[in-house]
Amino acid sequence: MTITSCYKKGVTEATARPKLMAVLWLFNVSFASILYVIFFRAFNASVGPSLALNDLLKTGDMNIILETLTQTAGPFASAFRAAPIVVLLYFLANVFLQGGILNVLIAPRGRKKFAETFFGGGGRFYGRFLRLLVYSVVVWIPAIILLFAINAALEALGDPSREKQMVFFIIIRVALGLFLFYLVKMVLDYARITLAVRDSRTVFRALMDAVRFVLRKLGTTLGLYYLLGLTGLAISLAYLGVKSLVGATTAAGILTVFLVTQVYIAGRSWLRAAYQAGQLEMLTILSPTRETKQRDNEAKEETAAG
Amino acid sequence: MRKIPILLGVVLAFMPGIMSAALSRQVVNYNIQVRLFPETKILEGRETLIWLNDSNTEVTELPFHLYLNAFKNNRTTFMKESRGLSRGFKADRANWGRITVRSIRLQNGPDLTPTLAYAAPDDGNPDDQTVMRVTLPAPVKPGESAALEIDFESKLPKVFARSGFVGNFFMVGQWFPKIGVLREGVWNCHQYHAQSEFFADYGVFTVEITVPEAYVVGATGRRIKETRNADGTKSLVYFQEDVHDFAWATCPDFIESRERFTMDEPKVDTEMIFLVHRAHLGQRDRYVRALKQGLEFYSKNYGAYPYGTITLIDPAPEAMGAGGMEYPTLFTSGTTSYLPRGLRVPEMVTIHEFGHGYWYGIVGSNEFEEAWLDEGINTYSEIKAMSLYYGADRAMIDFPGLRIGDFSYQRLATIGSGRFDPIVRKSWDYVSGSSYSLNVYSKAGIMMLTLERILGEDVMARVMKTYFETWKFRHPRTEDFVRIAEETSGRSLGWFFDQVLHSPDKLDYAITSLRSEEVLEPKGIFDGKAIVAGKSKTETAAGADRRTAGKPAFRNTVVVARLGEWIFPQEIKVTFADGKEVRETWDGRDRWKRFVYTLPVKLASAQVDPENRYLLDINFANNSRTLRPSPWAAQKYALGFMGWVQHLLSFVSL
Repeated sequence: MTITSCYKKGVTEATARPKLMAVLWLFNVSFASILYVIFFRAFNASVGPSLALNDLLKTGDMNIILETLTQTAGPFASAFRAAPIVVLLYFLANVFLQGGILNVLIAPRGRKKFAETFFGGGGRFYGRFLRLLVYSVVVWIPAIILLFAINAALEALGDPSREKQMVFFIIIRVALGLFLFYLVKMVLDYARITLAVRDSRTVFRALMDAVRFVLRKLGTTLGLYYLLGLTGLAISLAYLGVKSLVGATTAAGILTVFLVTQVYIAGRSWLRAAYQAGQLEMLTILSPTRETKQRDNEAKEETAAG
Repeated sequence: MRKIPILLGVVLAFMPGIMSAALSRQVVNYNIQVRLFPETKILEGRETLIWLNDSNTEVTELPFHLYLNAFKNNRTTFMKESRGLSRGFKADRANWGRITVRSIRLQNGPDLTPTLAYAAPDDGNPDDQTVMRVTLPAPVKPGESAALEIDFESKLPKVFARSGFVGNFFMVGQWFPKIGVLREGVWNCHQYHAQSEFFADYGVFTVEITVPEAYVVGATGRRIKETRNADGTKSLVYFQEDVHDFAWATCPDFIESRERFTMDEPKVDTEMIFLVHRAHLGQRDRYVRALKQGLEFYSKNYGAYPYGTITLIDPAPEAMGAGGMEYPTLFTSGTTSYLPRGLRVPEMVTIHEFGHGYWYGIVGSNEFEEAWLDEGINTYSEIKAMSLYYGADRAMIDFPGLRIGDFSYQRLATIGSGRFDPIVRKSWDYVSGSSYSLNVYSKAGIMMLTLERILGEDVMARVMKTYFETWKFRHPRTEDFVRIAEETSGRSLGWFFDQVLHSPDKLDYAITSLRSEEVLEPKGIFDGKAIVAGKSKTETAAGADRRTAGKPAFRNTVVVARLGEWIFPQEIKVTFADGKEVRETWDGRDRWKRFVYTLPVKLASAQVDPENRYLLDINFANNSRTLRPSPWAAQKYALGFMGWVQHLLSFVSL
């Protein structure tokens, strides 16, 4: 019941904030555009005047693409070298976005201008969320140790000559690794929500509270997390389905695929907001004391001020 | 010493009902009894060898390969060259291998063991014992034979390079003392190198293998006898003539199955024997299908498969170091459980290794000295077979949205083959293992495909059939292939082979410049008269010609350049804006050539080697140039790349 109500709340809140979705999409597209420009210039410089390019437009044959990339590796190297830098910068910008999202979700709707709330929140929580990333090693390390321990146990149990068993163990390892990765990410989500709701500066304490909360309510928090994950999977499948229907061999086709991709990325931005809103609701319902009081107080203050 | 006249016929007559007319000059006749002790990984063997001096020279010493000594310690030539690594698999320093000749004597004659000495003809490495020599008390004259009896013990290494064991799986290859090849009066008996395979003379092999009863055995040739022994073992006798090696594999976890393969044109009737490890039974149908395809393709295109059996060994899990290896009438393939069907590794390996049966097995190429005659010709055959049966654009990888053909894979390897080594070179003389494989496999394979496009498919088919027919059960050299290509095609191909086989250079022609410039109206001073554009009445005749009917004329310039070192005659297709085409030829010798057309239309594009005949050209993208490039092709890939980046950023932020 809690899971579905939080899910509904998350979806409703995200849907009610199209500006939030738009700004998240805009950040994504802005960072990606840097690499687009580098790639486009490199591509044009290397094969631009070649008839092979016309073939690539028509066929999309992976064999031709691979050869083109191999023969003209130099210009493309710049795009691939720039990629990790852009991803790192986006990762840091993302810390800012997390503050913005939560501030928008916490603030009563319509009281302040969106931009003020979003960018104000981003700046306000940036230092705290960055510290949270550093402190998060105390969660990552036990997760990694647990993963290694289970891997070692599986290795000891496994018989290398029984290949099917080994394949099964590899699947278990990957599944377990993903489970732990997303579990830690979820804990960090709750830690950020706690920090934002309390407007607290005690980052480590918020992290520990989040750990306790998740472990106490493991089934419920995971249920919500995976229900939203399924929603994301549905969005991805819909995107792949639509994309496969469009042949990118003409200008119209290329533009359509691009637009479909942007709709998908906007969908992912919506999902991101839904995650935060749903988990905020979960924390509020299942750990009402401090968070609820805090939000009630803020609401009262804002009403008085208004 | 006892000299035996040519009595092979008499020897073979001991096996009535088995013999058929010999297909090869049977220089060797091996009769071996071997027993495997699985616990100690040791083979106890006794070998009787009758060797025929098929040369015009007297022979006073006999060299033998002792291949397993390559795994004896870390200072052998093989281990030094490979640094204990082969195709990504690592040597186990706790499980060395070796072969010890306990005694060697002439049949009913003197013991030659005291004369036994190790030799290192290739690198003088005193720690390498992969070649031994014995001195004969009296020479073996041309046409005479020598009969020897050899007692030996082989200890198998943990498999990482072809031969050895893992658990209860044993791949027993290169395991017995094998005599070298006397070629034009000189012994050809090289050490075991990291980058070389094998070379031996044709003959008859009769091998009795004793293993514990639970073990399933696959071996070169046909099983002609099986005996259960009182000590819980069984003895299996295998026989095969017209082969130059004998290998076998055994494992209690093999599941054996047999299926006949028959073809009418050409006539083929052989038994396919599959020894698939129980862990890989789900992949068995892939092996069966690929082997049938291999038998069909090679028989149709080169010549009928001549043997009564072909055995496929599927190495055990963890024994992939034994996979992908050829022996006469037997080869190892390789797969893993749950390998997706779109990843066609078992198919490619099966067709490739079966194909070696033709270019190493039936045509006895010297893999030590001219490996391309086997690996290169076989890569060419493999590309054609894989493309035929699985699709040229998806022969290797076939998933929705990701398809890669065998040809593309080999061409990428050719592009990356460096400029260090030519195709023809002794296997151990390549700068590195990757240079060996890129040149000997990929570049040689693409070279053969290029030759096919130069000669045409029909002529190339005749070349291949003639080469196979001429050199089956014999030992060709590179010049023999070249001669047959020239004779069959009726063309002089020295310009091609001299470059591609013996030079490490590359082929790369490009359209480096394409211009269409309007021919300017005459302005300035001509013959002392000032001309103002459009107002002069003294325009030259040539100028008038160029400006037909008042329309502008264009000076269209195409520059073709030779960026690589190899010189190939070129055809250039020039296309104009009105769709008309002009074909030019160029001998390709100079570094560049300019073609100029003054016409009332502009250029559209130019393309060197428009039919893509020269697959060795390392850059197809620069082979053409257009003045009207599509603006959307670059957008398609740049936006596609951007899409991938956006997905990555979404993942980072979720």
